[in-house]
Amino acid sequence: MVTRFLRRRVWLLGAAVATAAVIVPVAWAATWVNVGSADIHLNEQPYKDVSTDAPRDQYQMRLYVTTHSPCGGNNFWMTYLYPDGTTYASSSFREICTAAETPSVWNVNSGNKYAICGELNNEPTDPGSTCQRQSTT
Amino acid sequence: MKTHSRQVLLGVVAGAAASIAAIIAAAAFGGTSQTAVSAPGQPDVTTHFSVFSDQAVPAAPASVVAQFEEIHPGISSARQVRSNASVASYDGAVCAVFEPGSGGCTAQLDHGVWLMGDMIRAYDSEQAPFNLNLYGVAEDGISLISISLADGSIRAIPVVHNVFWATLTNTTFNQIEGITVTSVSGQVSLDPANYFPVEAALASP
Repeated sequence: MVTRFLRRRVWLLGAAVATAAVIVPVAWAATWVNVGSADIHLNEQPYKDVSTDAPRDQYQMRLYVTTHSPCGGNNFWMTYLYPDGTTYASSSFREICTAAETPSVWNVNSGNKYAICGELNNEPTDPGSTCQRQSTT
Repeated sequence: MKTHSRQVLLGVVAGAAASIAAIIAAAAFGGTSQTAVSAPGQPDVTTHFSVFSDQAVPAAPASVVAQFEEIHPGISSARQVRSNASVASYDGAVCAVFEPGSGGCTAQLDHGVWLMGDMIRAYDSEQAPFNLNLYGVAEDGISLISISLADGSIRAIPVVHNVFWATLTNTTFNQIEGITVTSVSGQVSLDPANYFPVEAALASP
């Protein structure tokens, strides 16, 4: 009975699956994905950072930091590195503390690079951070 | 054949609808939930930015408004000051989107200035020199941001409609030795160490 139902609607099912197969990858490619773990505590050691596991292509990044008090000043940055570890691009330090300040976005294209979010060690509390990248790969 | 065509059409519609529903659900539940409610008592710094009431500054285009909305739904008064720089306000904070550059909001100004910058290779090669983009927003009354470099030169960046932007070619963060803010009430220095990382200290993958 199920087989007969499916056979009668094979064109409908096929078209639905094919359409989804086209739309979903395109849309997924434009979504934000986490770099490393979500809610990582970058404050555990000086210059702690979170990185992609391999060079990736991204056209922007953003960093969420849990709202906390007091704020620690300009304590976070983002950077892109070549596979050999040399710098392609680096942001200045920025404060990410209040509800208004999170997320902080970095509108810089990388090409095929490691994407990294980092933190200095002068944040008075140890807030969780989530680094994300938006990419086509 | 007519039945097949109708099934294909229905299938495309169903597949598209399911995909869109899934994408919306992923966007709604897949993002981080770390944005919190605004802390009470935050100063309203936007009152010190006349750009928001200056009718000579055009509204930001829809594409930029969309970027602001992605940062914080409800951002208002978006104005395009330069082709690559727009400002807006959000809950007493000043917001900015620079392209290429940073985007976000803050109410924590350093002597009236929100200074940002990026150091990027002039072209995509490990051997390429670095260029510096220095940019940000500054309160009313601030007219100039001066950057003192290690070679003794000074680059003066004018503030126009509360926004400044400059590209310093063949320059790295390490070469910045001083930052001076000039306003109607005089000059004040900002500490470069609060803004710019030393390259050697940056992370390795």
